Amino acid sequence: MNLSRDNQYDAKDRLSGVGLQALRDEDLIVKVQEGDRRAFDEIVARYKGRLYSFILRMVKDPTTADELTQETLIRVFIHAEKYREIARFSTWIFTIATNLVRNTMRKRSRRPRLLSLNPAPEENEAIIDPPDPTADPSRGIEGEELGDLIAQATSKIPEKYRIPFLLREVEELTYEEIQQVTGLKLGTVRSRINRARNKFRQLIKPMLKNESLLADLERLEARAQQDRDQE
Amino acid sequence: MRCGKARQWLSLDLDDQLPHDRVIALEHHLDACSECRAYRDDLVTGHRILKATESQLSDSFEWRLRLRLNRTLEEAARLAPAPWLEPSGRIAGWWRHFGVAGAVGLAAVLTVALFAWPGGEIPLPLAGDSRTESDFEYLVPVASGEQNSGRVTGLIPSDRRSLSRHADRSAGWQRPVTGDGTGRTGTSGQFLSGWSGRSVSDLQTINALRIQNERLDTMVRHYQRQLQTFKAQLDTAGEDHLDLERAQ
Repeated sequence: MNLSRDNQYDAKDRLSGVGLQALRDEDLIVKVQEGDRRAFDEIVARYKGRLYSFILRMVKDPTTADELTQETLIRVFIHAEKYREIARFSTWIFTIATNLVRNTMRKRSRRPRLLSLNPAPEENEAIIDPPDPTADPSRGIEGEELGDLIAQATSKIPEKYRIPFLLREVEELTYEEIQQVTGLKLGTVRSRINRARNKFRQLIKPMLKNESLLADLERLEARAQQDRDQE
Repeated sequence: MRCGKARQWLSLDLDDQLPHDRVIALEHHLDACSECRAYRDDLVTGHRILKATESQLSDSFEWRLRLRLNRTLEEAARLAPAPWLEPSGRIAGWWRHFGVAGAVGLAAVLTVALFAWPGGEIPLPLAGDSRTESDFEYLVPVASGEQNSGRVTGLIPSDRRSLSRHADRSAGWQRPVTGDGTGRTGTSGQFLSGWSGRSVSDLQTINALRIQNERLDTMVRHYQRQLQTFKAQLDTAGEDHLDLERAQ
């Protein structure tokens, strides 16, 4: 059989691609350590969305979140040999992301802020107010809009509570993994998650009374389930 | 149980972190407290909302990442020295510099000794010279002719360090002594054979080889950089888009 070089490459690609999808994250990173770029592509496919979602909720700016997601993945590739299987791969990658986020936020806080002459409401007292569905009954809260409202609410949780909260609620890391990522004591992790949940509940409380929002939430969940089934 | 404690335990219970006996106590409290039940429902709904509103990345993310990664690797390859040129450690590096400096110094001394010496000869004592043997300690006797006669028949330089002393004493010295005391020249024969033109040509050969070696090293580094560029191009654009002209 006389395959062209491109065809040979594709065939090899397909074969290895099938194998890689079945591997654990920890096995993939071992392959990356051996110089396998396809294994790295698989890691990117698995983590890019999770990382972006986590980082965006921390930094609030999509461009910065995109940038930091790329930076995290590049660091994973470049420093792959530093990974040892004493911790789960997800713990390691979220540690890198968390450190990058912290550095970015620290740099941001050092920048001088412009003071407004109009007094703004206290951040902690601000409550997220969803649009009133009774004003236009035909219009529910769209998914994007709901996302913005939640992003707004999340950003009002103080950073020290937000990191463990998001790692638990969105990334579903265990308490021990969050302890490793943040370097906090286990008791502190527990209490911070509890406080953040309480804070988040206060912030979204008005939304939870909104029937159309709950309907919208169910629609979003059904769509997400459909996407998962298709994959 | 107070509601404050129950809500603390609720958070742990949602994450399966609550011990079994406390789970039972919490359930008892929830059966009796509608506010804490509502609190639990809010936490569950909050979690659902967070999961449902995860943001999506743009489609171009992966190729942008790939491009950035290739650029990073290319940059790293450009900055890194070739492995065989990299010293294995600080001491190795120090010795390398020391070795190079020593070799250059030695080459300079030899060049001066060979080409700048007056008459190209090493001064030796003349017949009838009034100076004592200790003045010529840098020379050692060479036995020839009559053994154990006590007569010096020839002399060779004892070591290279005394070259500077030779320079000081060279003035006024004309010819070395010979076995028969006739004052015949000592330039030919055994004791000056170490300074023949052959050594000079060896040094020149070594020097030429070193220059050639440096040139080859430079070429190897150049081709390594070119190889990295090709690999990066191959990864990003594919085989058909290799910029061979630019690389050359």
